Amino acid sequence: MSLLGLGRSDAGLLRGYIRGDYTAFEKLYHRHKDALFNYVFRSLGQYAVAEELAQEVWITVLDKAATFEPREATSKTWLFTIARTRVIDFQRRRVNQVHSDSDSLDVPDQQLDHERQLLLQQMLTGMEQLPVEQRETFLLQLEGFSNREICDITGVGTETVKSRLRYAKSTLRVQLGEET
Amino acid sequence: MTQPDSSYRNAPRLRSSETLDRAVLGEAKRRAERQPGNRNRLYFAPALATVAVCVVGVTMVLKNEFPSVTAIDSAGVTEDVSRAESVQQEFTSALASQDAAGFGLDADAAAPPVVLVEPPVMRREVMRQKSNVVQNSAPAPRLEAMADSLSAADAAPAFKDVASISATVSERESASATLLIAEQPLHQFTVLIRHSNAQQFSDMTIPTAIVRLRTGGQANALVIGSFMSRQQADKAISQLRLAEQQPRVLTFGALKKLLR
Repeated sequence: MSLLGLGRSDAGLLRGYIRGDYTAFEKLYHRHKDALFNYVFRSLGQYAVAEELAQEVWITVLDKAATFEPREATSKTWLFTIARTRVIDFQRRRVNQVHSDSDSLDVPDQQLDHERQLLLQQMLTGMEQLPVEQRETFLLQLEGFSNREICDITGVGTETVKSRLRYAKSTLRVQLGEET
Repeated sequence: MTQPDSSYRNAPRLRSSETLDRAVLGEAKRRAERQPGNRNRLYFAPALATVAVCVVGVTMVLKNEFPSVTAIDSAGVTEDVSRAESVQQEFTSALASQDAAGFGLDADAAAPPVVLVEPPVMRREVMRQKSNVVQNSAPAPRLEAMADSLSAADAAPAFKDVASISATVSERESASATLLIAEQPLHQFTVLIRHSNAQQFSDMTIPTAIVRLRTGGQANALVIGSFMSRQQADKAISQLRLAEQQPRVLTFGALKKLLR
C-alpha cells in the first residue's frame, strides 16, 4: 500500500489508529499534512508560526481521535475545523501583541526560489487585505472544500459562505488588477 | 480579467518541514504503542484465524489418532522406547548448548531456527503415555509417521528434531491453554504455546502442534514456552527480536531467564 494509504478512507485510517495502528495515522498525516499546513500558513503568513500551529493541530487530532464521529463530519472537514480554531485563537492572541508587518516569510530557502517567494508574498499580501472571515472562507475553497463543507467548518450558512467568497474574490480581483 | 481564485490556486504551495513530520509522527507512534490493543494486533491478529483452525484440527486429530508420543521428563530423561537414545542425546546436547549460550540462543547454530520446549503437559497424560510404552514395547508408530510426513512435506531438519524430541513434562498440571503467535520478520512466526487449561489440551502434545503448524505452512521459527501472562510472552518475543537471533534451542528455563 502506498504511503498515502490509497483506497482507505480517512475515517478508516482514524479507526485504525485508535486501535493502535500507527501506520494508519502515518498515512492520514501524509495525505493531509501539506494541505493543512498551507491553509495555516496562508492564514497567518509566517512559516515558523504555521509549523507550530500545524503541530498543535495534529496533536489535537491525536488527542481527539477517539471522539471523532464520522456521521457528523468527514475526517478532512474535522481536521480543518480544528485548524481553523487554532488559527483564530492565534490571531486573537496576536491582536494583543505588537506585530510587525515587516515579518519575513521565513520560508526555508530550499523550498522556494526567489521568484516564487515573491509570488507567495504577493498572495499573502492579498490575503491580508481580506477580513478574517472572507480570508478563511477563500483559503478553504482553495484547499478544495465545497461550500457545504466550508459551512460545516466555519459554522455559518451556505448563503453566508457564498457572500464571503464573492466579496473576497472581488477584493482580490481589484488587487490583482492594480498589481498586474 | 484574471480570476483571483485561479491565480491564488497557482500560488506556490509549501511543504511542512521534516522537523514537523518527525514531531507529529513521533508523538503518534508513542501514543499508538500505548494503545491497549496494539500488541494484540501486531502480534496476533495476522495469524490468529489460522492458528485457531490449526488448534481445533490438531485437537480433533489427536483425540482419535497418535496415542503415543516420545516423552521426556523434566530432567530430560526419555521414556520412549523407540528413539530413546537419539532423543536423549539430542536433548542433552541441546541443553548443553543452551547453557553455553546462556538463554539458549545459539548464535552459531547453522540449522534452521527452532525450538524447544518444556511445555507443561498434563502429568496424567504423560503417565498415560508411559503406561502405553510399558504395555507396548513396539516402536511408537505415530512418531515414525510424523517424521515421514515431515520428510514428505519437505520440512526443515530442525522440525524433525522437534518431532523426535516430542513432548516434555512439566511440573505443572494445570492452567489454561493459549496459543500465542507472533509475526516475525521475513514471514517467520514465533509460536508461544501456553498450557494452562488442561481440560482443553489434555490430549494435545506440543510437538504435534508444531508439526501441524509447520505442515500448515505457518511456521519457520518456533519458540515454545510456558508463560503465566501475555506480558511475559510479549517480553520474551521482544527479547528475541532484539537479539536478532533465531533460537535453535530454548528451554522453558531459558525463557524464564529471559524474563528476569
